[in-house]
Formats: sequence, C-alpha cells, structure tokens
Amino acid sequence: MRIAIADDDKEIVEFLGKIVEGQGHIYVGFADGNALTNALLRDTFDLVIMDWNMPGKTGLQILEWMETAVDDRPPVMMITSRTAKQDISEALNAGADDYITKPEDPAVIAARINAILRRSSGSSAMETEAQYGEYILDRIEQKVRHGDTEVALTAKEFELTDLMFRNRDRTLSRRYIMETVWRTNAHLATRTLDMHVSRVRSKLSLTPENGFRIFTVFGYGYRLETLNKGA
Amino acid sequence: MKLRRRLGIEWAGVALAASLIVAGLIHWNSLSGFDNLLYDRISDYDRPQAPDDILIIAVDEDSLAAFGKWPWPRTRHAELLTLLADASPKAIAFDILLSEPGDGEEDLALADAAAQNDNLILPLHFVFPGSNGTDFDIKEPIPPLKQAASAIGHVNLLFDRDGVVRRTALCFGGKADHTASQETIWPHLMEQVYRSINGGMSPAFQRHDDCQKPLLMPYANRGAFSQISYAAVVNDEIPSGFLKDKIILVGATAQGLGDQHPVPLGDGGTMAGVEIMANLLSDITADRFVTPVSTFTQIILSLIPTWILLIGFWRWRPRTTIFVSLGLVVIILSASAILLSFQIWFAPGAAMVGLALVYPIWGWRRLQATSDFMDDELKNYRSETPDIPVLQAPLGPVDLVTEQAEELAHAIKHVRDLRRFISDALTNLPDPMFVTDLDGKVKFVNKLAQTGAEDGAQDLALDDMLKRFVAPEDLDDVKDYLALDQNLREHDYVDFTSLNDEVFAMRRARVLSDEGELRGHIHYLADITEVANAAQEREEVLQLLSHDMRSPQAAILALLDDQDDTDSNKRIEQHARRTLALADNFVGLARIKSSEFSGEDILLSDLVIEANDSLWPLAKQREITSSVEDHTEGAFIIGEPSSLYRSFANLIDNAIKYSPDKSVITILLRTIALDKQAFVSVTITDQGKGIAEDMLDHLFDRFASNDLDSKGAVKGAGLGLNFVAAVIERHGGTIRAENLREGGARFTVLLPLAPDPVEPV
Repeated sequence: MRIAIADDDKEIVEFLGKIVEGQGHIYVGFADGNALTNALLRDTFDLVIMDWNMPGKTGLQILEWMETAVDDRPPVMMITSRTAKQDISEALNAGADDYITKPEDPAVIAARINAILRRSSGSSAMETEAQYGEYILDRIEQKVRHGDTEVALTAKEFELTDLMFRNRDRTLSRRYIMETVWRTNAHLATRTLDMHVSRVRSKLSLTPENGFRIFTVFGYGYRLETLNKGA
Repeated sequence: MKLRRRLGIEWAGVALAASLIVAGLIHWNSLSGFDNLLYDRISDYDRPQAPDDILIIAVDEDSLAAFGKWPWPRTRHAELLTLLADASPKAIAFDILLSEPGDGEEDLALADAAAQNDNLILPLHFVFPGSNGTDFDIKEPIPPLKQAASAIGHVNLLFDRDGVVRRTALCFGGKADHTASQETIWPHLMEQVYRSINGGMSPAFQRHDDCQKPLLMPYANRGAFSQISYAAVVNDEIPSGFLKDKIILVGATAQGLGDQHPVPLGDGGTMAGVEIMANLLSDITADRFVTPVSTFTQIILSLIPTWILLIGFWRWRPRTTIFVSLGLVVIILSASAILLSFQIWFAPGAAMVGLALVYPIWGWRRLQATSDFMDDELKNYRSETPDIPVLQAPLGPVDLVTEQAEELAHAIKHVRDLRRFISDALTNLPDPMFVTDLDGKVKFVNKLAQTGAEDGAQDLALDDMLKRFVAPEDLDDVKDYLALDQNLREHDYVDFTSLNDEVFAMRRARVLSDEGELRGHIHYLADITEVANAAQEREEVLQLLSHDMRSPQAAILALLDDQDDTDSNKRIEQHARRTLALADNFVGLARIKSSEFSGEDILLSDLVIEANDSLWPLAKQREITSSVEDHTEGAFIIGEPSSLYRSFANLIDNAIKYSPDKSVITILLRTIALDKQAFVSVTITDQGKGIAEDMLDHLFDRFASNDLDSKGAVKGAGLGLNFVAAVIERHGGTIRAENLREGGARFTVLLPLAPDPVEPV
C-alpha cells in the first residue's frame, strides 16, 4: 500500500516511514502542507498520515480541503503533539479517521495503521469464532473464553466486546458504538455506555497484562488497544 | 383588583337601595305633593276649551244684591225654573241642595215649577260619617222635588291630600242603610246630565269597571265657561233664545256662599263648585279623563332612568354622568308631559328622586372605596419603599381625600423621579443593554453606539435586533442561548463577535412583576474584546509552547528508537521523557489557571484504571505490581477528563518512582459520605520509604520535589504534584499525603460524587 506521511519534522517522517515499511508498505514523505495537497491532486494514496501543525497548511485545513477537492478520499490519520482532549476530538470530528500522539510506541503505531488499512480494504466475512490474543469469541453462542475460563456476558456486553475486538486499535466514536450495539440513534444516557465499557473491561480483565487496554478518548469515544506484552 | 371588587359591592348596594327606595315611594304614594305640583304645572300648558253649550247661571254677588241674603225663598227658584221651562234648554242641573223641607207652600210651588221642566236634574249629597253609626247619610231633595226631577245625581267632591279637587268619581256607591243587602250606585250629577242629553252612559263610565275610581279631570281656564247672573235671568234681562239648547248649570259663585274649592290651576286659587261641575261635564262629554299608570308600571318606568345612570357609572366620567342625569330629568319630565297629552299620567317624582338619590350616594360610596383603596396602596407604597422618603403634605389641615390625593401626587412624583433615575442610569450605562418583552419585542435600548443597532430599535423584533449587530456566524449561538427559556440559569452567558469585530458577552436577567410573573428580559452586553483577545493570545502561546516543547522531544525519542539500547541512550530517553512531562504539566497548569471549569460526567474508576494502564510499561520494567481495586460500582463525578487523567497518572507515576523494585502499589476506590455529601475516595498506597517529614507540608507547593530521599535514582518534575493539587482543588476535592506506620506513602484524593442525572426519556 502507498502511504503519504507529512510532518515538518524530518525525524518523525523517517521514524514513521520505518514503521510502515516494516509492515510491508511504501511511503512518500512531505515536509509541508502545500506539498502534500499538490501530491494529493496528482497521486493516489491508501492512507495519509499528517501532522497537525505544518507550514503551508495545517492538518485541519487539509482535512477540510480534502472533503471537497479529492474524490474517494483516502483515510487520514492525524499526528499530534497536543494531548488536550479538545484537540483530539476536534480532529476526529473534523473527519480524521484516527490519530496518534507523539511520542508513541512503534508497535502501537503499527497496530493502529493496520487497523485503519484493514478497515478501508473492506471487512472480511465474519467468522463464527475468532481469536484475539488470549480471547476467543464465540459469535454463535455469544460467549467469550479467556484462556481456560468462560466469561458470562449479557447480549449487549458481547456485542460491545465483539465490536471493539473487530475494530481493535481503531478509535470508535460513542455515537458509532451506540448505533451499532444499541441500534438506536436516540440519545441514550451517556452513563449507559460508560457502565457497559467498564463492565466489559473488568469482566474480561482487559489489562495490559493480558495484552489489551481500553483507552477512553474523552469527548469522542473509545479504542481497544493491543499491546505488545513483551514491551 | 381589590378596588374593583369593593366598587362592585358598593355599586350593588347602591343599586339595591335606590331601587327599593323608588319602589317604596311609589307604593306608599309619598311623593303625591310633588307629583301633584308637577301635574298642575304640566297640565297648565294644554288646557281644554270650554264648550259653548254649557251655561252657568250663577248666584253671584249681583243676584244677592238684587234678591237679598241667601237662602232665598224657594219661590225664587220656582220663578227661575218656570222661565227656563219656556226657554227650552237641553238640560238643567241644579248644584243647589234642596234637601231640607221648608215652607210647605213654597216647596209645592217649586215642585210645580220643576215639573214644568222635563230635563231637570237635581243633586243629592252624602254626609260623612252618617248618623247612628252608618257610613254616611244621604241627603236627597225633598220628596215633591224628587218626584219632579228627571234624574238625581250626587255632587260630592273628592279632595286630594293637599285639599285640591283634581279627581272625580263618576259615581258613589255604598249601602244606603243598615238593611240594604247590596250597594247602591249613585251616578254623579254631571253623569246624569250626560245621560239625559245623550240617552245613555258616558264612555268613561262604561269603560271603567269601577265608576268609583277617581279620574283625573283636566280643567279649562278659570272663567272659560259662559256665565250669566241668576238675577239677570229672573229679571228677564236675557233673551229667551239665548237659553235655547243650552245645558244650564245653576250654582252659587258668590264668595260668601262657601261653595268655593281649591282647583289645580297652578295659581292656588279656588273655583266655584258649579264651575267645577261645568269642567267635569265638559270632560265627560269629550271623554278626556286622565288615567294614572298602574303602580307596577310606575315602578318599572321610574327605575329605568336610575338604572341607566347606575350602569353608566361604570363607563362614564363623573362629568358625563352629571350631564346625563340632567338630561334624564328633562327626558322624564318631557315623557310625563307627552304621556299626559295622551291622557295618561306618569308621576315623575319617584324617577327623579331615584336619580337624585343614586348620584350622590354612588359618589359618596365611590369616594369612600377609592379613598380606602388609596389609603391601603399608599401604606403599601410607603412600607415597600423605605429608601425613598415620601414627602409629607406641606399644607395645614385639609380633608382626608385631599390629603390622600396630595400624597398620591407625591408618590407619583417619586415614581417618576425613580423612573427617570433608572432610565438615566440605564441610558448612561457604559455597556450596551436592552430590554425585551415576552413577545420578543425590544422595549428599551440604551446607547448601543458601538454596535450601531440602537436607531429605531424600539419595538423591533429581537431577531431583527440581533441581526443588526451580531456577526452571522455567531447568530445561531446567540439564538440558542436565548432559546433556553425555562431552565435559564441566570449567570450563563454567550460570547459573540459583533459585526464590528468586537467581542461581547451577552447575559440576560428576567424581569418579574410584583407577583413574580415573568414580564420580559434584560439583556446585558459586556464588551470583552480585550479580555477575549488576551485569552486568545495566551491560548496561542500555550499551544505554541506545547507544540514546540514537545516536538523536539518526540523527535529525540523517534531517533533513539533506532539506536541500540546503550546505557547513555536510555538516559537520553529518560531525560527526553522528563522534559515532555514538564512541558505537559506546565501547559496543563497554565491552562487550568486561565480557563473556566467545564466538567462532564466521568466514570472515575475507569479513568483511574486507564491512568494506571498507561504506566504499566514503566511498572513492568521494575516488576512493580500496580493494581486498581474498585469498590464504587460506578461512581460518576463531574470533571475535566484530561487534567484528571494527568493528575492520577502523575500520582501513580510518582508512586512507581519511589517504590522499590518488585513491590506492590495499591489503588483503592470507595464512596464515602462526609458532612452528608457523597465523595469518591481514591487512595494510592506504595511500599516505598515514604515522604520526608519536612517535605510533607510543602509537598504540593510549586517546584517541590521529593527527590532528596531517592538517592538520585529517580527524579520527579517539580510541577507534578503542584499540578495535581491545583486540579483536585478545581474539582472541589481534597488531596492528602501521609506516611504509613508500616512504611510507604499514601495519597488520598477525595472528589465530590456527581448527582444522579435526569435520564432522558
């Protein structure tokens, strides 16, 4: 796959470039926003990874520009050194598909990039049983096995677990989760989702020791991250 | 409201009283004197003509002079009757009583003369009360005359209370004596005259079921009837043709003879009985008696003008009422006069008394009610506005109402002054301000000079008003804010940029009536352009710092990733991470101090778990177990997630730093109640060496660092705990640090529990 990486910091472009090459992809680096937009008009990319603050055009401006100027827009991943909740949710709400903060662990970045590409290349047929690390999801019986133990979940909890595992390493908005699991776009009490996520987390022991962590993106949604247990 | 009710009650009282008085006056005929006077006056305008064929032969002063004193011998009357028999008049009626027997021969001579006339009607009269206990005695003509007369009629007059003869009964009925089983009816002398001429009962007699009912008789002017002297007739000075076909009434007119009675001619004078008879005969012939309206009709008609005035009191000004009352008096009198010309008598007295009563009584009651009301209101006013000195009436003793009016005038003046003061204060307010009513119409605008929106803004719709000074992109925000109607929190505000690129904070307050009803809103605009610019600048600086400080560190870490894990590389990485943390804490702290708290619903246990998860690699490196035990079962707090997350990460990071390898860090969440308020308590307990005693007091101060005891192996950024303390304080919580007896340090954070949310349906 061809990936565009834009950051005014050369070290970061190379750092990220090495990660995508390690995953078997090709990358083209850009140092400023204008160079990226010019390339986007002429060239095709499967993913755009770009910095929030760039000379020429900011990441946010490019996002807005892409909405109108580029047909069949590729997925976009924002890099940000800002950690404030507003910045991240602003980027996601503006149309970015995901984001990474710098600095971030290379393994995590690789997993996140794969998660985006996996999605954009079309979802594979649903297996009746799927294994993610130590967790095995039985989609017919709606049960989860964690190692040797079987974990009892309610129907909604299972659906939530399934959704998060299928979209692991990808940031999901609360609204997307609500509509997929509860099949309603009515305004569900926000605490309902918080509590379900909390119960899934504790029932399945989704902790770094077990290779997963649930990460709350405040003001936006949740992400199930896979962790390299050896790190 | 109070006044209206009171006036309503007063009005009903006045209306009832006036109606009862009017009805009573009519029922008991109490105003007959006044009504009679009016009757006399009104009848004066239209008196009937006297018919030519009635001739009075008067026993006048001349006759007395010619024949000597009264009574005359009966031969004198015989002489007259003999003469009259030759003259062939239509009828002869004697209004001279001939009921006592006199000299037998003279009586017989008179009877003979009477018999020569075939149309002689003689009088009888009744004496009240009668002898031997009867109601009356009948004095008839002496028997020979009675036989000679063609008819006999009574000549008794009816006197009104004022002694005036206005009415006549066409007959008199009663039991002739004790033995009579039935009443006998004696027609009036003049009715008998009519019958003898026309051969039947008069129409008036026929019409009335009860001929004894008094009828009002119109009078012709005094002396209207032809009259000749008795003496002149007897002395044959009258040509006999003159008497032919005349109806001749014979009676006494001389003053000395006593047959003079007061009559309603408006001059207070008297009239001879015979002339009264002539008038009666004229009325019977012309059938022009006046009938009074029935008592019931009288009451109803009399009440109409009173009620017109009563109803009018609600609508008209007092001056109008005066004119209307005067007009009504004129209308009543005119109506009475017009009815009289149709021979119907409506006594106007009661109606006029009603008008006269109701006006002053209502005036009195209204004044009393108004005065009481004003008294109350002024009392309220005085008690409610102690800060405004109500000036005392400056003049000496005046009546109560004048005093109240003066006080009211003072109160009004004060209100006016107050209004002027408020208006001036608002107009000269340095910040723009406007007032809207409930329909969203702009009711008051002070100088919005800087927005240019004040020209003709009065009565403008709020939306149009906003369009004049709010930048289009902010218009929706402002409207959203204004749409928060019911659950409006007064201190909320909305920021917007004006068309002139100024920034305003718009706030509004409710305008309530005295009863607490919503009347409208006051909208305040505060020019916060400078503040907004300063805040924006600071935010830009913070973002720059955040970005520019973090980016190089991120680049260093990216570069190091490629390198071998040499000791110096590891130390470079540690320093880079420390710088990153310092930058984050610094920016976080600066942001906290410059921005307003804006919390959201947070499940605290999961936030703490995630903070702990984020430090898992660090703990794992040193084989430290750091775990979260949650005993809250879903404790939500209102908080700012980023800064809280950072705070707990800082605390756990600290705990890891100061813990020996392979030790255990316990993070415990519980809900507790303190002073009836629910809190979530988070304790972070490590098994390290604890905190130096002299540092405990300054632990959360800026730049304090507990690295003295840590032998240089681990160093914390001095801002870390300072940041945590600021964040926890900002959330209304507390943080405490302590050393445990068995070793290790414990940090306890208390955060207030969020109230249960109102779940959307």
